[in-house]
Amino acid sequence: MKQKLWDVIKLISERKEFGEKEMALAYETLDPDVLSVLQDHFKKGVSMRSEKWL
Amino acid sequence: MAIIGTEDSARNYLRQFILNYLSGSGLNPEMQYFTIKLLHGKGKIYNEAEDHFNWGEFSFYIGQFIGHEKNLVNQIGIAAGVELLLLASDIIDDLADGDRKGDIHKILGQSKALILSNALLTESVSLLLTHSSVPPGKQLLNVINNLRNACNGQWSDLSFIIGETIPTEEDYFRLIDQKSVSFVRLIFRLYQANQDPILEELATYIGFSGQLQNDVKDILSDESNDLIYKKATLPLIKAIEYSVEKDQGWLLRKIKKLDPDLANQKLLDEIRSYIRSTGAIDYCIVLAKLYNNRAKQILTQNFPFKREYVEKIVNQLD
Repeated sequence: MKQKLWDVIKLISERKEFGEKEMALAYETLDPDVLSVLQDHFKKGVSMRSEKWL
Repeated sequence: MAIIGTEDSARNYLRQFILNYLSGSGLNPEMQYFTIKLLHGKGKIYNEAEDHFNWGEFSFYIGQFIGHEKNLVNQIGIAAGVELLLLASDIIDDLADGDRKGDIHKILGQSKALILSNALLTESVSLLLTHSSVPPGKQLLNVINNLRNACNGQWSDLSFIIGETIPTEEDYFRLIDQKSVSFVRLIFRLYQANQDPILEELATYIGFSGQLQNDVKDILSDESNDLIYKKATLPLIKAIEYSVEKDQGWLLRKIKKLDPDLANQKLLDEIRSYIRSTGAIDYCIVLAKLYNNRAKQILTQNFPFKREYVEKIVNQLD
């Protein structure tokens, strides 16, 4: 689970967006609970991400 | 008697209990004063911030939720023991980390901090054994076994740095299972003498989530020494993994230049910016949230008849 999550996040970070391609990979490889947290984290866009939750 | 009516009832009971306990404990008045002063720090029981996580309160609600102890004084007494135990541990952590900007160094100095930590450990064990419904012999074994595990983890943590070898993600989770999850296990076993796989899993998720959040905060903060001392926390481990894969280890070369004796602000900023760009911070935040969600899921699925206490614990975890 963790390796797949890391692969998706690396891709998002490199492309600096959470667009259709990244979303498709996330849907394909991640479990629903992981996907849900990931989407929630990036929903404001990569450039706006923060550690506000912490 | 159960406390579920108001948001801050448990906090107020606990504050009053600790004051009363210390004043009647026979502990040196100056040590009592410093204990209360330190318990006003961030995340501690007398801190006025409304929505902070507090170990004493958390322990109280865990007790309401899984424990068999019905006496309010005993419930609060155990929570007070946990609060003092965590303060004792925090003091040692700050000394071990050389955290000279923290409250411990500012308020106490090293020698007094060591003695106070020792005294608080003694008082916490006394409270836990006096107020637990688990037989004292069994309770003492629980406390000793879990504290020994935590000490082993803290000892290993001192040399858990980025050096000639680079720890892996698996090494990291093994270490935090020892140094962080052990404290959560200790709290659960205060109320439930026998091992329960559901509570074990719950303790693991809560411990992992808490440690990941701390490590993300610390690597991004000038108040913490984690980065300058090259502590192998997960954000740094993942960022190095990325760097080795993508740019022949640029980050490792920068990390090697870090020197605790020199002003490194520009280098630190450059390294932090790189770590963010790799996605390592996002990865750790997503993992922490995921573990937190799984903990909440275990609580709601396995204990539907304790909903009011589940909500209290969930509020603490959020």
